[in-house]
Amino acid sequence: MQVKSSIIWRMLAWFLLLALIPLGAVVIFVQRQVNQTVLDVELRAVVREARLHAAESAYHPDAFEEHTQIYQGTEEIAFILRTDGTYQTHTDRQKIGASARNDFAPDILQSFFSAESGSLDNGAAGQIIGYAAIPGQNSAMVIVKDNQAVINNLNSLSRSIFLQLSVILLITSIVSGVAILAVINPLRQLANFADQVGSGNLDATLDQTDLEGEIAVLAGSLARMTARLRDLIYNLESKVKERTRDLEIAAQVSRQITRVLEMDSLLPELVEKTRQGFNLYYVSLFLYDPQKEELLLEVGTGKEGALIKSEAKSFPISARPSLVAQVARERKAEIINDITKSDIHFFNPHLPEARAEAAFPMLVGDELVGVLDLQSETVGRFQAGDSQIFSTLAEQIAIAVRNAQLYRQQEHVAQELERADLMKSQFLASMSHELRTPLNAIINFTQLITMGVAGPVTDEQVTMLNTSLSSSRHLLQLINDVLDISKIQAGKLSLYIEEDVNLNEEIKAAVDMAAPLLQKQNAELEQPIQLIQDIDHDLPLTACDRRRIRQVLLNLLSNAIKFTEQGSITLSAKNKGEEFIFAVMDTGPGIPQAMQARIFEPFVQATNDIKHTQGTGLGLPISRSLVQAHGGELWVESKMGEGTTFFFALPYRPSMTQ
Amino acid sequence: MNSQNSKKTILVYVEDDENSILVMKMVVERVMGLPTLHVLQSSADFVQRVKGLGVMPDVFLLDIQMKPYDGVELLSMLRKDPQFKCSKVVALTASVTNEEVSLLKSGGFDGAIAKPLNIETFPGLIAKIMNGEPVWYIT
Repeated sequence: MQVKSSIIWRMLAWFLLLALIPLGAVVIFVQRQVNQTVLDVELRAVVREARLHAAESAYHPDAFEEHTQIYQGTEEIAFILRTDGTYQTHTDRQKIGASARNDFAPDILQSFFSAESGSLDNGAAGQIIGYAAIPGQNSAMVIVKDNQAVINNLNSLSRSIFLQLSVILLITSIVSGVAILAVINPLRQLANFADQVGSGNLDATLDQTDLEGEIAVLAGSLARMTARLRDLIYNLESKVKERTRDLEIAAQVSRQITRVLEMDSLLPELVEKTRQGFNLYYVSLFLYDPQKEELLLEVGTGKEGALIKSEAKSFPISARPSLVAQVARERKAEIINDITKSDIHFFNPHLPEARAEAAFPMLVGDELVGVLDLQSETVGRFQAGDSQIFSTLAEQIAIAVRNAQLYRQQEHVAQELERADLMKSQFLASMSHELRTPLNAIINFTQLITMGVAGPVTDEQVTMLNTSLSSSRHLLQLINDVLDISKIQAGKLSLYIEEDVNLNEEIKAAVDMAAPLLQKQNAELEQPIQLIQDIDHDLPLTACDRRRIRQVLLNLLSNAIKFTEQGSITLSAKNKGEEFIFAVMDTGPGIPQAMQARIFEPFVQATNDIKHTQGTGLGLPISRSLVQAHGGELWVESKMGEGTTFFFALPYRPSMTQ
Repeated sequence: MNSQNSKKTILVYVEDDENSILVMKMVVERVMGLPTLHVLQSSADFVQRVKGLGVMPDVFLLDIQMKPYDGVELLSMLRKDPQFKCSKVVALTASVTNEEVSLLKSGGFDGAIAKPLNIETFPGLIAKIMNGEPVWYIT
């Protein structure tokens, strides 16, 4: 808040206004009293004068001439008036014998003879008149004085008094104003200063050069107070800054350690960051081996660190005297602020400048991971506040080291697994190649012989060759299925999605491929089973892996054919908008409820019947996985003695470009 | 398969497995009745050796798992040589994985035929390829 100078001027104006009005009134009142008094005195004086002159004139006829000479050349006039109203004599000689009626009003003339003596105030003419009867004569002595001059004199006197008083008042006012300013200005300065300090500007300065007396004392106190406040606050600030910086470094180091999981790259960086951040001489980490109950230097900062590590040997946790071992044993931080006064500090010739040492246990819960050791070149470097920060830091490092150790283990396991997985993949790939190549030769040569390419074959031979051929194909299918299921179990099954696949074509292809199986089955049956098709024509083109969809359909159809000995098989395919629903329904023996879930597990079959165990036992799990990989689902509904229906839903995926 | 066209068809088979070569020879020479099947048993010096055959092949049948160059590498060698720009190139593969099929398609093969050969359908596939139709007979 600023003390405004205008206030002072306003105060001064008010002061003048309030002082001058009564002053004027008093002056006017006094002037009136004085005027009255002066008038009275003059009136009495003029009567006395008139009587005196009258008395003299009574005895000395020439007295008038003598005595009235004093009036010559003045505004005053004197005359002797006869009762007839003419001047017997007059200071203005020209008027002698003239009538006074021209000079005075009749009532005034009359009053000259109304009493022996008297006076009157002829205010209208500005005159005072004294008169006295001259004894023994019928005349009166009259003296007329110009009262205006007196009044003027008095007025000018009061004016001058008023003026002088005003001047005095003004001077007093100015002087007091200046005096007030002289007090107020420094107060204003003080107020401004206090105001600045109050609003937080502790660097505000107070100019004390012009200050005197109590104000100077006050200013001095205020300035000293501010200086102390400033010291306190700045001190506090620098302390807070220091703490904040420490915490920031700790946080930085912590962030670093949560990022880096590789211990080899983590720890050297960690100790170096700590050393630089906290301006230390040397920082090292000892790791604890719980099996051997030993500590070993893991890393130290700088060249010294490398040097010391190259010479370091593990030492038991029970070693004495040793600060690090003690801290590890007691799981409690220890500070040696002056190593010359300690008997447990180990003097290392590589660290000649060490003066103070502090060690902090690295704990994860109750478990000791190691010890963080700090050395400083400054005696008394480690204070209570530091201890908190370093303890926290040591805990953070402990967690990081533990994580890194776990990561290392984990990595090892992961590498092993990866290697095993690679071997499995390689095995499968080579099995695929090595098993198929001879099998391909068997199949192809058998086919060629059957076709008579190598010479005529008998019907019996053809039958045998066909059995050999179908067995070989079965074996090949088994190999393919094992490869598929391996991929599914390894999560490596990938689809080859093509746009705009015509499902009607794929269904036809699957039916064509199943047809020979059905023929073969029917050849052994008295009542051939029918394959009924209930298929929506013009199923919309959709994106899918058509070879895999065909594989699923063929698998379901061949299963149905295998297990159905009477009745029929119905293949249906319906467009349900969002998805296609396929169903393969048979009138076979049905699958017991308990088996319905298990048939989707690899190598499980619903029956142990030799005739029916021709399959690989992998078809259904593979089919289900293939449908699921398309985002669909495959399921079974069955009733014992009535038949089984396998359904699968395939999501409709129209072409992007349509 | 006994048409005039097929008789003139010149096939080159690149394959290292002797049994496969024997099967293909019987299929081509006895079943399809073509005069001869040209065989390269190694993919080394491939283009040079093809030129050394002294014929202009209509169809190359490349086994995918060959050494030192595999079928995909052989294809790119052929595609770089303008002399073979009219030749069709078909992959023969025992593995039927989808990744391979898409690789073969994007690699620029005119078709792929699965091993083991289906001897009954094979001559028809060759005829299709000669007609300029892509053939992806994988299963």
